[in-house]
Amino acid sequence: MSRPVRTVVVVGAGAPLWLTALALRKAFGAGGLVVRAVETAPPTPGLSHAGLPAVGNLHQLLGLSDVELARRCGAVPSLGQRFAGFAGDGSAFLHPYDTHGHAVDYVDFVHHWVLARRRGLKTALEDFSLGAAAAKQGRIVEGDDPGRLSSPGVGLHVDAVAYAALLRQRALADGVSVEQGAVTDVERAGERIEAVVVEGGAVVAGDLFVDVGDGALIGQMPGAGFESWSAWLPFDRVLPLAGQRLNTLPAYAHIEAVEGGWVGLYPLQDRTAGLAVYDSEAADAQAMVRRAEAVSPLGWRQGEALVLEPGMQTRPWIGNCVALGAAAIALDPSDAAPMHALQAGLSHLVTLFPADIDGGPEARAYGAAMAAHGRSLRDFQAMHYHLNRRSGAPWEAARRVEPPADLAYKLQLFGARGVVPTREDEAFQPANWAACLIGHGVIPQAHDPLAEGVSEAEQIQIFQKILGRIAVDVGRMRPLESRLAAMAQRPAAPGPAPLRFT
Amino acid sequence: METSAPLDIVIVGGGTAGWMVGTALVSGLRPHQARVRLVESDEIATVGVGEATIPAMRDYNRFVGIDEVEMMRETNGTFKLGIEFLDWGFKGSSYHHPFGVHGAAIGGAGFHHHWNRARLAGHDFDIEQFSYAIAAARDDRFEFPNPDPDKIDSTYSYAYHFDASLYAKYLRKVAEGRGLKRTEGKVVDVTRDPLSGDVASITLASGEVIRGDFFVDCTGFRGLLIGQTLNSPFEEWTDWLPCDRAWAVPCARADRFTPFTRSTAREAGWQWRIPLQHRTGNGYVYSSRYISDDEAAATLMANLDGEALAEPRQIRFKAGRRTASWTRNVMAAGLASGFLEPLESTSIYLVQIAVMNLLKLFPGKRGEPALVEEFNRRVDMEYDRVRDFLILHYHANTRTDGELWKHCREMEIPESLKHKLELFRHRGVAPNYHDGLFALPSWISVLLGQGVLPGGYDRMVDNVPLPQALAEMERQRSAIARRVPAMPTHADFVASHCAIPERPVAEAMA
Repeated sequence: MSRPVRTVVVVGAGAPLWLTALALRKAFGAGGLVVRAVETAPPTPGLSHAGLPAVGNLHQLLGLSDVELARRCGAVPSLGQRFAGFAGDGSAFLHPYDTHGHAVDYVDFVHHWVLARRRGLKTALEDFSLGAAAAKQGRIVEGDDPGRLSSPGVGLHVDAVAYAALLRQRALADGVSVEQGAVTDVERAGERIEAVVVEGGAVVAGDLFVDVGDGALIGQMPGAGFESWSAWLPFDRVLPLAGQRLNTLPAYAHIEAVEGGWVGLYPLQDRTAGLAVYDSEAADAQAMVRRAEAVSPLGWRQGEALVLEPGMQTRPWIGNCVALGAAAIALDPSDAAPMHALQAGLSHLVTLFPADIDGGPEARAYGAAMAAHGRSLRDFQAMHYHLNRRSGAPWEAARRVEPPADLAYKLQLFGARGVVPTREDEAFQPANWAACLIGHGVIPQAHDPLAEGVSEAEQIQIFQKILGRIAVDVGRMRPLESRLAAMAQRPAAPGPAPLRFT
Repeated sequence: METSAPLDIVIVGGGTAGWMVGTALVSGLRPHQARVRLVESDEIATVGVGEATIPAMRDYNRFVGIDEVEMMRETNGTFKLGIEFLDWGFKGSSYHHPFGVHGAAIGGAGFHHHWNRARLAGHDFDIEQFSYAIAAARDDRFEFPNPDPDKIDSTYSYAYHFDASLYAKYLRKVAEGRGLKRTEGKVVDVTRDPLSGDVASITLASGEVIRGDFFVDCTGFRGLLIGQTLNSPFEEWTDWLPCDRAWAVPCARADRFTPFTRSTAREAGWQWRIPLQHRTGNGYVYSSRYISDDEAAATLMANLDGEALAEPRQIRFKAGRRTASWTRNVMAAGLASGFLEPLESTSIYLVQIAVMNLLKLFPGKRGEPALVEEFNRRVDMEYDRVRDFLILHYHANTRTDGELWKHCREMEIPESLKHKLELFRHRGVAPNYHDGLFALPSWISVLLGQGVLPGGYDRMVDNVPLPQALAEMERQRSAIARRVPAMPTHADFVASHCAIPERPVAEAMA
């Protein structure tokens, strides 16, 4: 007879801790699951989080509304990410959370664009994306409109401290209990943790322990191992920055490669959150603040630089200890990847929540899914670095290193023919890959010959029609600033009723 | 850099595979992109005994623009809601693999998890009563699914049974009408380009030499181009799928006109029953290791539900696939590419994915190795997944008769399948692929049907108190039970929708 897990202990800090605790409570609370949070530290001040459109589903499951996030956490919706400086020649491109154009005769639009480019077209791929056009014009997508050319996704940027506070409040209201303080001891017999001891002496016992912190808890389990990705993700420091609010908020994040690393700008309502991600051998915090100022002179104030070691736990679930988020998959902050890794892990943990206190085949299945997901995120990040054309360390070294096999395969196939191979558990869709690969200068050597089923004259007509539709669609959207002003005025309506995980 | 001249594509071999590939190519390509020729010989018989399909077939028909009613009439077609498996898990067992779900999720947790909790709590519901497709199939009823997703009769899909050789004939008409050039003739020689090693041309018995940029090998098991010429190795899976022969025979249409395929496990294999409009196709797939040919034929003939209309014909095969079904400038489709027994009606599907992927990764005049690698990666994945699903049927059994069943029960199965079984046994989690076969409901029906019962269930089930869940299950069950009797019978539906024109019996038999 199986014995169900009665108490789960979640160890970590900030938004990852409270997202996890709240999500587990929402998923299993009605069935009697007790969730205990061990808050090892207060959230890091000055940090921000970037979420891909998928995070909207998570917020819906947790009963958090956009209005609430905007009012309480300074959240700003985002339609994509702009990459600058990677080519070293002043060029930039936008990675929209959207597709480009539409398929013609079963052939993906990218092939038509490649063919048209060969025929002399000068218009950039991103100009055929509704999401990119809206982002660049500071407009925001609201609701679903089947009449639109496409359905752009909406991600967000949010202040880390306020976000954690909101989630914490919700979790506690939902019945999650909390102990504060660093973990000083782990009471463990073999692969089974009995309890963690918290600074101050409190002993927190449970049936299942979730490490959503720095990975120390999973790391002390027998058989734990770490696979380093620093060969491909070369940056080992993350410096939080805060600058003045931009006059007109852009509806996208700006990522700019600079000497020694990159600087990210994430618009919030009260300030511009910044991150400097760099190689500590090639730059220091002071130098990165200066470079951020050169990217955008916003009077940057700096926080404490965090050490980053990209990689993943080779066994993210051992005995009754499960690693989630950065404890399982440590990525740099590009591509809003850390939040996405956390969300994917949560979804797998909910699907595979142990049926029995003694565990079973869930651990292996979880490990396989996380490895596939983590590596696909890693490959997406590594793609930016591998394809850079800047001079100087560490950029030249990043270009020279042999990419991971799956990425090399993607680069080869896309370079040859504009096809993106996908596997199960991919984090990004072919449209995301195409936007970035072409943005970084990988123009397919050949298009799908079937694209030629459309004559040049027909093709020009189709392209003009797409551009016309985009102009009309964007024209109907509100400016981001008016949307934010409207949300600030609306009474803080309660969030939508939580959905269920499926 | 535009391809100045069209690609010359030569399909060698007709049959269902050759004509499916040819029709898709001339439907998807314009004349300035490709010239498609098909060479077939009337001397070489095709294997046409009545064929069952899966719902993906409808995507193919839609792509090439086939009118369903016309196709059904031309091929003696009938409708299919799934497969009935008799005696598979153990003698006396019966289950359906439906083209549809079992029940609707309750409180966000999958229906089969609720069913399992109820079962563990002593409420032993028959899960098949929650499948609309199964209820309709068991009652020999059919109509098209309701397009309104909120309605109970929207929760299924359908496929066809038809005469595969008539289907090929029908496609030939379509393809020739769209510019495919058919040449009758037997291939007597194949020439390779001495420099590149690619296939350059084929020579017919008539002396005609047909050159091509790209060749499609649809020559069946022998794989004239892919195997005999290019030596692409064949990976055998006979340890896992030991059946290597079949006897096939048509019989008169029975009283029961079922909207499903039947597969009955026998001592050394299994017997299929495929209802067509004018007759029923039957066959016994068996392992020659465990039964003699004569005994197998006698078993088949003793188990027909109508008068036999011909002498049984024997077919020989080997489970497995080419390690590279696209090699150099040759793509293999159908039996030339691989063979998986028709237990889950996947033969036509595998041809379909080959040609659709060929269109997605369409070659230019110069070969591009990346396209070939990607094609083979996609095709291999499909083959591997179908293979695991088939092995499951054989492996998860408790039959006490026959060495075949003992062997399959005790054999070492692929790791990929072993992990799936463990997870399902433990807590009812089954594969849910992003694309390709098979979908979650298929795994659930076969796993449960073969007697693999989960010890645990999704914890989210506990959010809904048991009595409330039982009431909801009862509601779903009765919605099905109320709606199904209002459906027309399969026989009436076919008669009014797509009946074959009345023909003299002798002609219909030809």
